[in-house]
Formats: sequence, structure tokens, C-alpha cells
Amino acid sequence: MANRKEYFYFIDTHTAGEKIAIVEKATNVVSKNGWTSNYQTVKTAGSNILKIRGSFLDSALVNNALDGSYSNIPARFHEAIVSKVIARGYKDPRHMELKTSQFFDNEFELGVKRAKKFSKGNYQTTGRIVPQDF
Amino acid sequence: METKEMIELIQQHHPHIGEVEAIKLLNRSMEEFCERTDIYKKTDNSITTVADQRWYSVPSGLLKIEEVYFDDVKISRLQGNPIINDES
Repeated sequence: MANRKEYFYFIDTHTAGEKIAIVEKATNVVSKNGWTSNYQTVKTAGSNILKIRGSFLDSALVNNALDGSYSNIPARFHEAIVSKVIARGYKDPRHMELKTSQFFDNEFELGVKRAKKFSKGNYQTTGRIVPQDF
Repeated sequence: METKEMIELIQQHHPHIGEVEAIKLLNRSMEEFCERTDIYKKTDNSITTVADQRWYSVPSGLLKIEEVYFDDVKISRLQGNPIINDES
């Protein structure tokens, strides 16, 4: 049976930004100043791809491509993003209209609510209810 | 919706907001939208690990990690940091 290796990741904030660390479990292998750690830096020779599944920001709009758009947010949610900008504009002291601002903030919140529902729509969970005697 | 359409909608309410400012505000709102909704999920495989290196920069735009695979095998998150950093 092949030797099963256990790897772990953890996150830390460095001066150069957020970093991800990969370590390998190695019981009592790493020692320093009388201390022993059960985790060592990965010693596997050769390159391994680290796949990170998670949520990301969409790519930002750029000034010189006005026919471009947000490529990963469905188009029906773009109006919610616009609503937030309009709401911000009405909070600007030069054109302050708090009631109108609140209306567009609500439009944004409705968009957020619909988008949350949409993004959770792909999750499928199955379960079984187990009867219990008390 | 194209960028110019979004800008037009904003300028109907706020004619004083120029294109550059509108794009900045749109991007800021988009960041809040993505952060709150987790609408854009993907698997990034831009990091290639090498022997004896512990730390790697996270992919740009990453908001939340759900799963990590090392050499195609799912790995767990370690609670806390190991007490010794043996990175060479």
C-alpha cells in the first residue's frame, strides 16, 4: 500500500499581501531550539499544481473599453450595481437627496438578495431523516 | 449590460459624474456585490508549488477559499500555524 501523505494549508497576511502556506505532516521531523513541529515544508520534488476553489472578484471595468462589461456576473444583476453607484451619488454633498439615495440602496439590496439565492442555487444537498426513540 | 450603458444610467441621475469616476464607482460597487453574494466562484490553478517553498501569494481577486487541492487531492485547513518555519 502506498505511503499516504497528508498535506495542509493555512493563510497568513504578510507585508506582501495575503499568502497561502502548504505544509506536509511529518511527526517529530522538524526540530529547532528544543522544539519539535509535526509539520514541515513540502519536500516533494517537481512541480505540483495547487487548485483553489472559492469566490472571487469579477474583473474590473476599464476606461478604454466602454463596450466591455463584467464578464462573470450575470447581466441581470448589473443594474443592481448601477443602483449602488446612483445611491452613492445622491449621498454626495453637492447633490444630497437622502430619500432617493435610500431608494437606490434598497434596489441594490434586492439585487444582492436575488444574487445570493442564485449563487446558492447550484448547491445540492441530500439527506435522510433518521427516526429516534426518546 | 455594457459599460457605456451603465455610465449613461448613472449620468441620467448625476450628470456631473464623468466616465472615469463612474467606472471607479462601478468597480467599487462590484467588489461589494461580489463580496456579499459569492456570485463568482471558480477554481484557480495558477499556483505551482515547488519543493522547500512554504508561502505562495494567493490568486488576485480571491475573496473566500472553499476548497484546496494539492496535486489533485483535497487538503484540509490547518488550525493555527506550525511553531517552526523550516522554509529554506
